[in-house]
Amino acid sequence: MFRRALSSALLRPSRPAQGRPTHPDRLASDAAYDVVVVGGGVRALAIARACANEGAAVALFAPDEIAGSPDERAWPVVRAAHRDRLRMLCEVRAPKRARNLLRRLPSPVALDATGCLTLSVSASDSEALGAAAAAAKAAGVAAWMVPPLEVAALSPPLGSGAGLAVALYEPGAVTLDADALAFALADAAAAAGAALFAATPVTRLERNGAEVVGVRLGDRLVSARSVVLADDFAAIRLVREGKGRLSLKREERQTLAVEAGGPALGPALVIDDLTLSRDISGVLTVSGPLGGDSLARRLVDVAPSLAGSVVTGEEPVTTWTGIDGAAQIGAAEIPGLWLALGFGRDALSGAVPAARHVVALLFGLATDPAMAPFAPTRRPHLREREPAR
Amino acid sequence: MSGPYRLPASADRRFGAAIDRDEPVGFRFAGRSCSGFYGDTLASALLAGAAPRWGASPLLGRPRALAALGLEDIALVALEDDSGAWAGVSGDEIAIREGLAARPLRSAAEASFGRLAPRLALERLRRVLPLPAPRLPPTEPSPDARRETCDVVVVGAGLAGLAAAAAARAAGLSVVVLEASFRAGGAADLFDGRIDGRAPGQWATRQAAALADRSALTLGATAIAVEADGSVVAVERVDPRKPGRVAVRVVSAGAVVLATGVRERPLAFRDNDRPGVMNSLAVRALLRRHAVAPGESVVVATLSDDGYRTAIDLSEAGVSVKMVIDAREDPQGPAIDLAKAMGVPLSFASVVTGVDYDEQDSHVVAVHAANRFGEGAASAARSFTVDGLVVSGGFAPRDELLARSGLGPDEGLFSAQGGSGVGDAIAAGWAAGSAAARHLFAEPTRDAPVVEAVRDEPDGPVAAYLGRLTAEDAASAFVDFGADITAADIAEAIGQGADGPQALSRRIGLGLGGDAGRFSADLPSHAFAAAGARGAPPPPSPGRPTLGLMAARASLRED
Repeated sequence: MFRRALSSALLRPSRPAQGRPTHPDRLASDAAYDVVVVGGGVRALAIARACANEGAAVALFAPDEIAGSPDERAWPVVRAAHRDRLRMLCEVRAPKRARNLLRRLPSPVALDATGCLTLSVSASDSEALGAAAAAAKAAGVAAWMVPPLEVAALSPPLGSGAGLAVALYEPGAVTLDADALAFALADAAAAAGAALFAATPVTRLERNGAEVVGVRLGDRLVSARSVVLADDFAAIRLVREGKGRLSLKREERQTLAVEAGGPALGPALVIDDLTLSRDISGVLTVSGPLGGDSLARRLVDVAPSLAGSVVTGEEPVTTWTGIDGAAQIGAAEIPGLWLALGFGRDALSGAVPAARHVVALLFGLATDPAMAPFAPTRRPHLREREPAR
Repeated sequence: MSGPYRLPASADRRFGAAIDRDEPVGFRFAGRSCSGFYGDTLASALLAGAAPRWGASPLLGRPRALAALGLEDIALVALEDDSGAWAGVSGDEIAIREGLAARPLRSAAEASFGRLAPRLALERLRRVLPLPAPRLPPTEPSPDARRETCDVVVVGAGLAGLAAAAAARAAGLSVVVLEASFRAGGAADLFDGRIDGRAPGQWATRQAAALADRSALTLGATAIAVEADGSVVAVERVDPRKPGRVAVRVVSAGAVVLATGVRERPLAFRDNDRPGVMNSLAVRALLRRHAVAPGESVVVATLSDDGYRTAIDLSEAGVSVKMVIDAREDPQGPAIDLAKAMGVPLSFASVVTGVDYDEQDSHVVAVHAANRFGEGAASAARSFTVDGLVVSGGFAPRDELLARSGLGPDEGLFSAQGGSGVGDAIAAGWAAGSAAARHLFAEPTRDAPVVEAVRDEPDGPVAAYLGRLTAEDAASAFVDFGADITAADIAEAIGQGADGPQALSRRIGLGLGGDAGRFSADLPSHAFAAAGARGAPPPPSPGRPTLGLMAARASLRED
């Protein structure tokens, strides 16, 4: 049996797989839905599942496969202690909620309570992290600063601690199997009545005046009362080609998968713009700026004992972040259009809270006030700073 | 005699060309003392001495042994004083010498230990209890890295690569040939025919010797990538006696010829990974080079003419070939005619359905076969009591370097990918070498070598095997042998929701074995199609670098 499924099975007995229609060519010619979700990652699937649970007629169109998206797999960690205070406030309970969610999902998802270490890279950085730790304490998140010696003890591959600095440690952060989470969410969404379509790219947003009234798949129209864009690349294409603006900036990154069997990593790591995580089957995933060789070099510099580990995969990843550094979650300026975009390198952590918020807005439920700063309609002058294409 | 499976000295002289029966050599393997002849490889000596298993599969701990040669081997071994990620090599790559000590890369006990994840539990415990830190692997010195330039770099020193190098040199260009194994010529000596009046093996030896004169030929250098600027990145095993010590070599050239050849595809049936089930090319190599037979009596399962070539060799060497089981309905051609003339029993439109294996004695005891068409009694299920099975699932191109590079002739990358025969290989190699020369505004001053060889008939359909697997048989019908993935695993992952090729490959861990998926060739993509998944899985990896090797490459780039 294969590794990942094996480690999933260790956690919980596997149930018989339920078939779900991810790739039907049967789509009624006059299909109409309450909500159409565009995207195939965890975020999109979580939104589709929550909408279906509210009793809405939902269709999800994934541009490619229904699975964890590259940015979600690059660092599949759910944490609360973000450097950014606003983000911390809205993800205070994210790790706990992720655990609760997994208990309710139909198929097992490997979860590993690894914790997360954010290393400081300079004196000013350690001050900023100290401020984040104080904010975490105020918000009720169990996260604190740890001295270099403790960093070395928590994360053995980082070496003896001679060149190490202080770090922000959050023991409650969890590492997930993003693919398994996507499959489980898809199963749950299908069971709740959502129609899921893999490899079905939306070609255009259908508009009636200003309002979005549906999507087009080639020459077919699928009408919808609300359209949720939960895939950054598809959203950029659809909105910008429709002469709209999205205020997202891109970052090209690269992910290296390192074969299982290397040394234990300890907590998931953030070192400057490098992110490391180790899933429960022992596979190490490293993500950093584009260029696999220089990424490997930096990694070997910080963790020399990893030098003998075999690289089994390289994958380029593009991440998008709002140009003020914050994600866009909520109603867009265009009526009928909703966004859950721009989570940057930390895509998986924000996925479930964002889905909750979008669905609460869509169905008029109680919303989390901590999410308000992430409304896409915030500070309209931001839009002017986006360079013209 | 050095073992029960060595042909007697009275066998035809063309068998055992590489060995010297008058020079016995003693060595140690996994703590046991073994013997072979001078010229034997570790694999041939072990098989001759009836050690039919010496490895274990990574997850299931199933016994494994030699099934294919070189890069495609799934039962890797390492030398006793060697370490590192590249220390595992095919037993066919290690020439035995007095005093050699080797071990299987993974023992069965180790594999089953890793399966039950006690290490995982220990790691969890360590997080909550003040246990001592885990022992870290020793920090290795940074591998050497060097860059060099030439006019044409040829990847592969088989017939096609040697022909390409000859063409480029005939145009007056400087050539570097990188060959992954420690012997040049590839499978040339396993084919019959004439190249410029010589046997293919002799021709290859002469060509390789001519290259060695100007040290243009590097053995033990595995090309792992062709970069966007056309430079070839190779991992070089500096010392054949210490394969784990590697260096990075980046060769920048005006033109690149990929002459990586073909690999023989395995077939999917019940227990197709058992030691004693061997690819046709590997069987022929053992016979012709080392006079080692796969058993006393064998069945040959084939989709291609290569199975007949091996059946003819086996029959001439005195091995009893009980039946050639060909999935094709009405194959024609000289190979089939010759097999018929030699009295080898043939069965067309039929397939092997499974293998019986004796765990105690570790060898195959029976092979089951049936007609391709017809159910129940009409399928004429039958079994053969044999101790070896030769499989030939046709040839798949080793094209992963080409596919991953995304370059083409306009960027100076030329593929010498022809068919499986001698004629095709020489023609494709010479054409690619000439095209590379013309890309650099030179023209070969000689004509292409003259080849006399028969051409193969078309291969049969792989679906003849994959299409008829029952659910029970699929659970032990491996499609990625190195990573322990069966046809049933693919079906199960699809049931869990992974139907796209990328997610499905990640889910099952395709290509994560020691062979990086090379042994299985394109069998997984056929299996994906048979199981109803969309698209094709990523190709196997030509060779996987370590983080240390990548870091060394980065330092090279900055200098």
